[in-house]
Amino acid sequence: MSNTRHIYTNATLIDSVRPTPIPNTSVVVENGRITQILEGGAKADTANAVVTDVAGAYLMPGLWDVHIHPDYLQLADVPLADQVTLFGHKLIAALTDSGIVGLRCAGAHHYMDVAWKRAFDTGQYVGPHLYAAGHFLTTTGGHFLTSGHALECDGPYGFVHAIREQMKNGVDHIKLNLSGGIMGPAWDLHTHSFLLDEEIKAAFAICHQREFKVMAHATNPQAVKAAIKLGAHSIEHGYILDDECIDLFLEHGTWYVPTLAITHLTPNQAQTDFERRWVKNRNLMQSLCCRADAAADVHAHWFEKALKAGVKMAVGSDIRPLKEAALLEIGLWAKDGATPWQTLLATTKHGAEVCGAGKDLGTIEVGKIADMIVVAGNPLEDINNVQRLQLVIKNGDIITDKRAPA
Amino acid sequence: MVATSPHRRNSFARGLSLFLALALCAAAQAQTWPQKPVRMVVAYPPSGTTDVAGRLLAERMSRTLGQQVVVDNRAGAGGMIGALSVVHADPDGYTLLLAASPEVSIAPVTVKAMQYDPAKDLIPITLVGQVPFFLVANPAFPPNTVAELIAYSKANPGKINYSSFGNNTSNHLGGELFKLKSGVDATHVPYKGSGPSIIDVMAGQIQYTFDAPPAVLNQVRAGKLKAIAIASTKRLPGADTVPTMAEAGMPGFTAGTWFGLLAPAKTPRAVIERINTVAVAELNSPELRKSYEDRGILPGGGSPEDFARFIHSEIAKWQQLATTVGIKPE
Repeated sequence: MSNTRHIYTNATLIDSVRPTPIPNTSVVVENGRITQILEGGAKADTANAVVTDVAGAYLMPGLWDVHIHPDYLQLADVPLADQVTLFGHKLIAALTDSGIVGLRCAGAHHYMDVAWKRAFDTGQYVGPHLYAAGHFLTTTGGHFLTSGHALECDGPYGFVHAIREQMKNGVDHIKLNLSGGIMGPAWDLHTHSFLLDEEIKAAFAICHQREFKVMAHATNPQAVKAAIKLGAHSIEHGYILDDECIDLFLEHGTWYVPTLAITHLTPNQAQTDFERRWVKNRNLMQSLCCRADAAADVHAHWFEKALKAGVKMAVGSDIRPLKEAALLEIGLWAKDGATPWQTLLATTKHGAEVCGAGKDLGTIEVGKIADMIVVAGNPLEDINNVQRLQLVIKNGDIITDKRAPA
Repeated sequence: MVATSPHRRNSFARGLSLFLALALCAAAQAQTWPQKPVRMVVAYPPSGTTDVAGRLLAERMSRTLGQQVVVDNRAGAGGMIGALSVVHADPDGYTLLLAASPEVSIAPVTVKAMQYDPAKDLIPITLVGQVPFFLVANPAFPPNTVAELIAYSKANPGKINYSSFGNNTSNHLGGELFKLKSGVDATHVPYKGSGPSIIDVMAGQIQYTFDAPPAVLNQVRAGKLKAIAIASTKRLPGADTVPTMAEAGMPGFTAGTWFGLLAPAKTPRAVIERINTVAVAELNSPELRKSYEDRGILPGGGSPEDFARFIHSEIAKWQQLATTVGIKPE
């Protein structure tokens, strides 16, 4: 934690609390936390402070991506040690290149997410806030086994044992896959639920007993309803919902992380240069593109309906590279009808809240940790302006400066 | 003939039974080990050389054993936090320490209030690998050989600085040992870690340092550093144009760091032997040897007794050095 006193002056503040920019604002940071926010041109005491004039640019909370995985690499191709190093490098790049200050993992083999979380939390590396899942849990013949991050469990005790194993190894939450997905073999369908009732109940029971949040991969109404009713903290994907699902989201206050990128980023659907370049580099199999295309409209429909109904939602990408993933997902939210303000909240305040860090992060308010970014354009006019990054500030210190030299 | 009372005979019989039962139990435990995932504590953060050495070994052991060997990074306090967590773990073979030299052989000499005694609280299993230090210098520094460095030092007393990762670290002690054996007169400049130390050698503020292959080889290849010698008994594959210290005129001079597997004290001997067998077989496999050598790590191996002797000799070496040059425990 930096001991330096920092003052960011002449900022147009977007605090993720009020839906309007506040011009001519100064933010004072001491010992890594925000101690003063001075609006209307009020001057801070600059004695013993490092003063940074952001020249009217937009100072806002750092971004969050609450559904990520390491790359899908096989141990036969890339040794574990190198995969771990690569994951750390990509997490750090997400922070320093794109201002993504918080990420929530949705499954990683060999607890590499736990290793990096500890390394970042203890200051051994400067990195983002990372929330670890360990493996994602599915059944034998379950979802996305080729990712390398799945753990196949069967029977109630199989799930209980695997969940206890994740807990023992230091995860923050449990990633439970209740259904199939878009990206998998023909038998791995998002319209199918995979777990037996007694398996789901046992899995949620042990998580509830030990007070671990469940991040539930649920892609169809049956799986979504089962997960919400049993106390899931968040529903991931929700490609197909129904009105009862929306009611349950609202009734239980469950988070929805739609991961639009999975169904929307195909050659047929990519619209911007950024999306087209990413799609080209990804080179997804034609059969999977077809499945994504076929699911996209329904996904977009329920996304919009949930948004309008006031379901709590956060940005999670489920794609890589991590430094581009959230930025692409943010663009898709706008494309599917979210306002800039809704999207901004979803990738700042709500991101932190999903991870249980809302007290310390996610908004620019006095007392919070100063993990912030400065962007050149107003994200409340066009949310894609978050790509026009100038500064990344962690604990009050500038760790990336992309401003043109004076 | 000494008569024994029935009572004493019964006691003896009971004791013998207990001994045999314990021995059988340990043997059975070793035969069935492991029945659940094994935790391999690495006392350093992910992606460093110790972590890489540990994960490469853990990955192969997991495949062989059919149980995951999970690397658990417990970094801090120069490796002592991770080591202490293993000291306090159950001695059942399910918690191992992939140690590096600082927390096992350097700390006993340089740390005043250690919370564990490596010799009593940990059992050696096998030496996993060694990472020799290169003696590297700024390219503009005139000497190109150890002999030239010694001569330059004599001609320019008080004008040479050498750097380390920090006070009482492995390359600080290696640097002091070098000064002692070579007679080079150089001022020690401690840094916080390898990165800043290397940067200042490249910038020319520091004339030379000792550091591990992963930290220096790319810079040597890029011409930003020059390698004068390697402080090991053999040239390093992949950098075999660099002479050993012996070839450079300093026979017997080695410096570097090493990694080894240890277990909590009281781990049954049979379990230690089983882990040793598995680990050594992996260390002898061509695949792991190549993976290590590609990363500048010389693969280890050997028995628990070999490793115990090695640790003992390392501690003695540093103890002697500390006494000779006046390094005080902190």
